[in-house]
Amino acid sequence: MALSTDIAANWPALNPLLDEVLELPPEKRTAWLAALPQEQWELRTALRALLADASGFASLPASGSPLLACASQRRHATGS
Amino acid sequence: MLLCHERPVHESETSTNSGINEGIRSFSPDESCSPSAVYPRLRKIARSRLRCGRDALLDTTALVHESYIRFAQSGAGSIDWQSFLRYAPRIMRNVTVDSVRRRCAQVHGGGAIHVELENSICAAGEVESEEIVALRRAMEQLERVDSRLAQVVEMRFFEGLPEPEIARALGITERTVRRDWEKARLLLARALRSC
Repeated sequence: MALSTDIAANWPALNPLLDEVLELPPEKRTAWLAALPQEQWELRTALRALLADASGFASLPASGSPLLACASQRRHATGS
Repeated sequence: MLLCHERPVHESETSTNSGINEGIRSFSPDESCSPSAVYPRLRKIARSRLRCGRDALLDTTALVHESYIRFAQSGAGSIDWQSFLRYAPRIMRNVTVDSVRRRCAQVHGGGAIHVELENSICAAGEVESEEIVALRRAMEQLERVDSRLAQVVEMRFFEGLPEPEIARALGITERTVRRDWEKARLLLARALRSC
């Protein structure tokens, strides 16, 4: 799933939903996603994917090369 | 125009020459974004940018001044220092990239008009890592989706600016900076997976 297609096209709708879900503790996010109304189910898929990616970056520092290391590990782990 | 000094310029020379100082002298007013307050912050951003060690032709002063010239030329009328501070990371990135390209064009005999960044860096004997290429592409994607998120990443991750300073520069609250950072991380993670 490329950022430029599924995320960019829906970003105006995804953005406020992300604001909302990021206010919640991680353990409550799954339930929040499940409670989204039917008309937002397509967005739910994108949100779920974004939040799943975030788990690999949970310890990302504010700055510096660790992001690069993290990105490298992530990409190597996925075989890309 | 690129200010590539033939000799090293020491940091003590910072306020003695160049057009930026005239701009600073002619600037007015608000202490929070006065030239005297902004200039050290610009130098901090420039030092951070140059720490990558990719450009031996630019020093802190040259990078700040060249960025100022580009910013001044791009707009009309008086300089808005707060806006300059906001766009400085991006302008400085462009200046350093152009400098590397220029140096590599010279390495290739001076006749090269267009040299890809990756090739430029390699030709100059510096290998851009796979991770940096991936991150740069991810940043380009992020910028297309939400330019403010990209600005927050530029200022926080690449330049190491504190949240209050980013908030001031972008005209948003610190809470919004933190939220933007969180969202940017999500989008970058997704973009990096697709690189």
